[in-house]
Amino acid sequence: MEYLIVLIPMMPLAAVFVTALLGPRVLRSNSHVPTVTAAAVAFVASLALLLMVYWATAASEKPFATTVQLWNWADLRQPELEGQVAAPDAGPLDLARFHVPVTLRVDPLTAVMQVTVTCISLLVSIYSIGYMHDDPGYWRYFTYISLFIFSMTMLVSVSNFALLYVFWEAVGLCSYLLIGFWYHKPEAAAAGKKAFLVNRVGDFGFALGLFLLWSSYGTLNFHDSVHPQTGELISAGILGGVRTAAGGQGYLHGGVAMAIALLLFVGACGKSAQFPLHVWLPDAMEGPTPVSALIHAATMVTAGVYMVARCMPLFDAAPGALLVVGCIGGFTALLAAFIALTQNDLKRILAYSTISQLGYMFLGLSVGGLAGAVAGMFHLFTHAFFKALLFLGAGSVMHAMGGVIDLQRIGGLRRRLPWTYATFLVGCLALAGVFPLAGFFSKDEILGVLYQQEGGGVYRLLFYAGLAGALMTAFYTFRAFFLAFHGEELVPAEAGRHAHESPPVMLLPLVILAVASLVVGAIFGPTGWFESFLSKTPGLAAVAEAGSHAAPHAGHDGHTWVVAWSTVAAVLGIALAAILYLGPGGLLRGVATAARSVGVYTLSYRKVFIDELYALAVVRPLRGLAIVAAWFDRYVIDCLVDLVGLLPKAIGALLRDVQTGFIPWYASAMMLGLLTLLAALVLF
Amino acid sequence: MIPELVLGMGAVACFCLGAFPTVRRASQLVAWFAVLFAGAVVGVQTGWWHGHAVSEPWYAAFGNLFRWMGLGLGLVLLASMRPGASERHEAESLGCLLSAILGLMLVGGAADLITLFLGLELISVASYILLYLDRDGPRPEEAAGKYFYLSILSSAVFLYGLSYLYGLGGALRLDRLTHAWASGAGTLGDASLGAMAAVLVLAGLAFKITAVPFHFYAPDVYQGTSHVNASLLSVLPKAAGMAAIIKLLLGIMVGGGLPLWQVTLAVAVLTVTVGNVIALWQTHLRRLLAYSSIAHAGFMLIGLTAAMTYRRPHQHPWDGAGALLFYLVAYVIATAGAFAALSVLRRGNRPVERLDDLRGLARSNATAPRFIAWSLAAFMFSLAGIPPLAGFWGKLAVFFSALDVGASPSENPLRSRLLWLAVIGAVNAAIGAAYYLRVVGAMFFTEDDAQDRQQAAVVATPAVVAVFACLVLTLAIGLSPGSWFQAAHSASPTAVPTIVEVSLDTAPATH
Repeated sequence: MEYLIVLIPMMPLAAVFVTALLGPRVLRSNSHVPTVTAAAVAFVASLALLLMVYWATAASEKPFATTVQLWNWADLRQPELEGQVAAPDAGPLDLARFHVPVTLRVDPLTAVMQVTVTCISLLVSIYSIGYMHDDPGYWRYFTYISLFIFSMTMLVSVSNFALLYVFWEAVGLCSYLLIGFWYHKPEAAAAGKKAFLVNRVGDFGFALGLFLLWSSYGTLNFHDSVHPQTGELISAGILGGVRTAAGGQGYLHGGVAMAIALLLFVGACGKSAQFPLHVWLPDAMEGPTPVSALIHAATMVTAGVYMVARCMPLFDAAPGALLVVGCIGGFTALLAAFIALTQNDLKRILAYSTISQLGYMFLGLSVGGLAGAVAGMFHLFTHAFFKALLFLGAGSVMHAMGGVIDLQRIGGLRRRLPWTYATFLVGCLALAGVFPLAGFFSKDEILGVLYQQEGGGVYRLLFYAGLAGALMTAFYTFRAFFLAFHGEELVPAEAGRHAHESPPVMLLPLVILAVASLVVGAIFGPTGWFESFLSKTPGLAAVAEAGSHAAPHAGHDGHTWVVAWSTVAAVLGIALAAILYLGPGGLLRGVATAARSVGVYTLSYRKVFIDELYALAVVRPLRGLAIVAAWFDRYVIDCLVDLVGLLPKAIGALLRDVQTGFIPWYASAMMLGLLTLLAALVLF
Repeated sequence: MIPELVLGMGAVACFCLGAFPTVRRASQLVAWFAVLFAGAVVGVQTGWWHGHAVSEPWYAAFGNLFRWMGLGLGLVLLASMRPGASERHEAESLGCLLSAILGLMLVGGAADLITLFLGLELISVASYILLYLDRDGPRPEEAAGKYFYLSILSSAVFLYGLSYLYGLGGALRLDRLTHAWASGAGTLGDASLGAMAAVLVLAGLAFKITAVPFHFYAPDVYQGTSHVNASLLSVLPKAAGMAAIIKLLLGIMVGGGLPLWQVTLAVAVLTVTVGNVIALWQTHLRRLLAYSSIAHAGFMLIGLTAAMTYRRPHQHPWDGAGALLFYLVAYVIATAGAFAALSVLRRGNRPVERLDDLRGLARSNATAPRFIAWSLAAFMFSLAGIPPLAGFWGKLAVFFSALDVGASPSENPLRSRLLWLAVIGAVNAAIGAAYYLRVVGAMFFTEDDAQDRQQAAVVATPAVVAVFACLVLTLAIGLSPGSWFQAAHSASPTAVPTIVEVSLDTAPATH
């Protein structure tokens, strides 16, 4: 098992080096080979790992986790201090006890994430062979993709907050590189910059959270570390068995717990594009479409969800923070769905849909405890498949239409692109949450736990928000679907004579993902397999035992209601879209005019003016400040710095003259120094 | 003792081969064989690693540390010696190089004053000859002459100090001397005799480690000779001098009740400041690296000063002498690597000597110059103390050793001085970064605008491999400093709480 844990991230890492070194000269148009091979091996390895973990957990009732320590980074501990328990807040010199063990772990949570990540990575890299061929940056593309797969698999398998942060940044870097992949396009370069800057805000909060964790717990490890020989405990990891076994006693409560949880959530907001840090994700669609599918829909943006699920004991210690998570998630789900209603760019619709679905995941997480973590993670798991499917389908459309994705300029493509049409339909049904597709079960799970949560009226409110969101989701999904594939056939001039179905290498991933979107929900949801498996994760097992929250599915009272309501919402949304976009045009115009007249349409179309708001409240003042600061820097600070910088230089100039080059002078200087030292020692 | 004998025999063989023109080419082979064989022997003897038993006394680990350092440096310097540049004296040069390495290993393992002195002199004499034989540098006679006269002067001072040491302690063996000083020999009569011994020894060794004001020779000599010789002078005497300082000042005299730390503190402040501020003005690469090596001696002396203040048995998580040794290792690797990288560069038939010669190196079309540029940048960053590299941990350890004393809850008046020492060190680290970054900037951010000059090219020699090895080590230590810290720690005399109570019955610390 240890070999597999290490093998999974090491394969893509090897592919990075091979592609970067051999890509430009040797591999050229075969540059995809290392990436695809590495992703395939990693996928098989993570499947094997998942099975091994499953057998291990099925055998016993206890939670299961294994760690492999590769080496100790930044280990400055002196031998005699080794094996001592680190005292919290012992001051800066306590750095003598600081170390970052590069430790990989596997437990059910990691195993599920690994399978999801490597599976989508494999399919997307196969798809990219067709989508990116003839691109001048072919090898560069696959180098970045490999780097991303490496960073992402590391992110979900490291067992230390410092390393989590490292790979958190690493996937951010890959995202930045891939958004700006066509860096000659000014929009792409600007989008990359925007993503980077917005993420900085989140990462700053995350970093503060880590500092607070270190100073309040004295370690950054997830796991407990024990002495290799004697087996006695050296330090209790933040999410390790010692602390979690103590239930609520293992964690700080009150303000500190609240601050830690909220700061970590700020980080999650940045990475997972939650309000108010969601603005980067729609712009990130400037990158190649497979990248949008892999990074900005299925895997990287869900890192925030993973992190909150991973840290669930920390969040459980601060119920107030969970409520904040829920409110932000619910609001984001509604806001993004509302904006998606009127967008005309197919990829942007999908991007807002992703933001909205991520909001759902946080809604699920906000319930807390095992139930919340399972609901959030299950939606993450199913969403990865159908959202990747939708993006790849959109990519297939773009491929055929010569890069045009504007819904006003394309239409009625179902005959020209039959495979894309069929698979896209499956994706839309899954996203809308129609029985028995994947999205139905996971969305139902989230609504169910919200409905059953006893935490008060707020959760009931969030439940209704979720329902409203489901209605809008179904509507905008099928609006896009009908506009693109039904109605009059409309092919833009850019498509030329290439307006035909994509090559098999692109269709194969579509078909696989479509099949997965059909079945994964039904297989893992109602059977309770997902939940019982995840409950063997050490941190989650503990919060399940703590029992401060409603036990999941304790009573299924009202569950039928939830199912009925969510199905009604989905069907209603689809029906509305069908009536408006397939029915007589007059109706649509009427509704549009009505919506426009009260300003709702514009509000949605202009994305609730959030970008403009930021420009007004943040960007312009900052730019003004920057102009003032630049002037100040140039004429005041620079002069001061130059003065300070001149000081050593001036001293140097004086001292330099002493260096005359004459041996007698050097010798007498040495003797003079000797006498001075002697005098100093004897006289004082 | 076998590795030392092997090296000695290798040196003698090289000298003998030099007398026969037909077979003198074989001296290359002999030299490589001698170093590698000696390395294998040390490896077998120490289990391939200074993997110390806990009970092992510090000086055993200390000796092994300097053996490894000497042999490693030997390989790097052997690889950088350009065959053909001084073909007529190749055999002699190699013999001198082997002798110099032997000298370092002897100093590291010396258990009495005579061996220690002979080891140091072996390095010096070999350096005189190397400096004189070298025809590659611009002003070899001046370099050789300056180094020779001033080195002899410092050796005389050092020897004079040793005579006081012997006179007061009544023994040549280091362990007996330690015992004698611990029982009050240092303050015999009035304290001035002990002070005399300490200051003379320190002054003599300060020349080797280029501490101010005994540093004047370094820039002139480095500039006047070749890259390889400058490399040798900036690492071997410095390592040997530091080893001798630790053995004599820290191992023996610190227990004698003299406020030696005040002297080393003054020298440390002077050295680190003078080295850094003058380096800001330099445009000649070897001169710049000479001032850099002066500044680094100052940083190491900060660790020494911290170690000097440990009065009573007390555990310090940041042990000063251990920090010094770690710093020394990081410095030696980065400096030897930087000189090796410079030695393979050529513009036309001219070596790369000035900062301007490096312009646009990283933007070269060929792969080899770009590799050298990246390696050189890594060495500069390591010397400047930028985080993921070895030099960063060295600076961190040295500063923290001073802060550790400064922050200790004792009534000692030295606390604030040590705090200031750490602050001055940190300010100097910032100043130092400026000139290292200038080197990086020249390679990466300027165009090679000179039309009259030829493109920088890399001469394929084993030195490229040496550069790579140094690069790997710099990165490896930076990524996993733990085991290296523990190795340095085990070789440190102050890491053991009972530094003053070395028993008379301890076996002599010979090889």
